[in-house]
Amino acid sequence: MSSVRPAAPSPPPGGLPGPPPPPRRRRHHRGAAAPGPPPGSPPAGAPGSNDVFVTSRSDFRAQLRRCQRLLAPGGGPGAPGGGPGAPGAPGELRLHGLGLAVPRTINLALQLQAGAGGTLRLHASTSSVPLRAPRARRRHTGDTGDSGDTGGEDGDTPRHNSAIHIRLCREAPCA
Amino acid sequence: MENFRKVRTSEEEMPLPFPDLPPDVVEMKVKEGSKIRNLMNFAMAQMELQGRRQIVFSGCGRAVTKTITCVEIMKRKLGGLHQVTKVRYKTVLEVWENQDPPPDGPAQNLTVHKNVPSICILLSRDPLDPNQMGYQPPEPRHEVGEDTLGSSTKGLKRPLPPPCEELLPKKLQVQVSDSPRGTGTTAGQQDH
Repeated sequence: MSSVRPAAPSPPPGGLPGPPPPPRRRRHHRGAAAPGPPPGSPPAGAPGSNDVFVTSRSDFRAQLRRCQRLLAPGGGPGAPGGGPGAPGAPGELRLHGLGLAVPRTINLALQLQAGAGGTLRLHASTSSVPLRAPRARRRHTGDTGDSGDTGGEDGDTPRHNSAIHIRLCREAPCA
Repeated sequence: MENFRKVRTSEEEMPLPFPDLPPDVVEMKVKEGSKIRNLMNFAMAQMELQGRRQIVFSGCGRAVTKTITCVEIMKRKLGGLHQVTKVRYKTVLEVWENQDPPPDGPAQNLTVHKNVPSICILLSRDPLDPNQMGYQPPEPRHEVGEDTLGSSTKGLKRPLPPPCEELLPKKLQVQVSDSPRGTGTTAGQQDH
């Protein structure tokens, strides 16, 4: 008795397909999760949505509109259009300006106060911010090999820049 | 407008926004071209040598950042100073004159009123009202002490070097003592 073998399928046009690729091996980190904040929350020390960092490059009117929207009663982090970040006190805004942006920061705060009709209070404070040398310069000084002698050429005494921080709040007095 | 040139600039005089200030309080008016070294020399002399308890730094426009810099330097040098910061607008008057007036008319002047942001900062050795807006308590001492120890004299002018007569005995001592150079003694180092 002879067995009938089924006919071999004809090869598809274009040639036979190659062997399937080996499965990719993914490394899975087993064990406890890496320490850190839970997903969705901002890292520790990060500025909240009520912090506005003023630069001299941005358009002043756009900055003013944005600050007015944040100071509006519904303009907090929960409202649509509010940015992500740690929630701040409602009706409170903190403006930060560094170096050449300091006069603009003051101007922004005073414009907001003028537009609010006297319901806003300003609390200004000053500070010094140490500046770090750019990464290229730090890398260059470290490549000389004399880390003890030439590494201090740039950065033993960091340069400082003046900064201003203005807190605007509707309730008086701000704690 | 291209024929107009600025001939005069003046600032509106406004009283200081701090209550209960003594009438003889020192006010440092910082301008855009002011030198920080000169400002600090005078301010430090007033606070240390004259025994002043309060000092005010004020500036407007482009001098605001320099005003803050002076205040931060003083806080770093002296330490323990209470600070009150006030911001407001200041009116600056600019007078522009037409350099090419019409032949049959008088010279045209244009007065421009500009509101520029200004800052006034009061530094005081005595405690101030912490409830007033803009109050900033003194920084912790350990953050300031490291800088003041090394730079307490930087704000003041350098002391004069001793007169030449005092140097002569040292030279004689160096010449008299025959110390070998290879041992690295102090006499050998004085020769350099």
